[in-house]
Amino acid sequence: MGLLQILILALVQGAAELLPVSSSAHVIVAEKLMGLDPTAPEMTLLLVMLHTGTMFAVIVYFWKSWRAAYFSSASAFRANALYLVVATMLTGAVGLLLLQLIKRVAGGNSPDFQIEHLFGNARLMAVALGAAGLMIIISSRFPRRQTATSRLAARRGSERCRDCVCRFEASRAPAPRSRPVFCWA
Amino acid sequence: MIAREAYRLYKALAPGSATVPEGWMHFVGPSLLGMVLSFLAGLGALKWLSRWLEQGHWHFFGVYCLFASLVVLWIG
Repeated sequence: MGLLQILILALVQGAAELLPVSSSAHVIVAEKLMGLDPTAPEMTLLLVMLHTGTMFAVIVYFWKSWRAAYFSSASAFRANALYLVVATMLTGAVGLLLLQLIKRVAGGNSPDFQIEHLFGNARLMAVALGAAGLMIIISSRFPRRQTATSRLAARRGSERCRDCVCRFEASRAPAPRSRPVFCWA
Repeated sequence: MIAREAYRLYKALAPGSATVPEGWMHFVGPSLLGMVLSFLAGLGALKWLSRWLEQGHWHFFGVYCLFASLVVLWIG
């Protein structure tokens, strides 16, 4: 694995992380195109480290607005911390359930099966990307609602919600067309 | 996740090479470099894309994902 290959993968990860297009799938496809094996332990470690790098980038970029939103008062911190804990626990529970299901269906409960083996399955990636695309198109048809964070900001009397999850107006007016900024896996 | 993948790499390298620091760093070094580079790339992309994303065009990403899925199938 050369420096140029690492640089290309880092650029792909950095560009795709913010977009709802699965940065993991893009990195894995880039690895395949460069003749690398995405299921190899050194490549899966690289994939995780690339995600860690962009995670720190997101933290650095949004730190000021997060500090203002989460640490402005004790009540704001408690409410936001609760949302984060609940969301993290639910995500972890869904992930663990999926992991067990995949182990049973794809791995036949074999003790040698590792989830990383699926990283080389192009059909599975294509189906997952297609499903994500359909969900994005369908979700774009739904009217937008205020988020819990924007309601919190409205209660505080703020004119604008400064959270990265909610960058549109936190008023009683209908939400504008802009979408909140997320960090995507 | 980092610990899990590092352990998976450690097990893959064993026996022998994992006990040699140079052998271990040969695989961990690129990952650390990748983390630093993706941090810089992510920071640049965030500055560039965040304003653009806020203007909507949500469904474009759905169309792109469908197109990307076909490309992935084709690359196989």
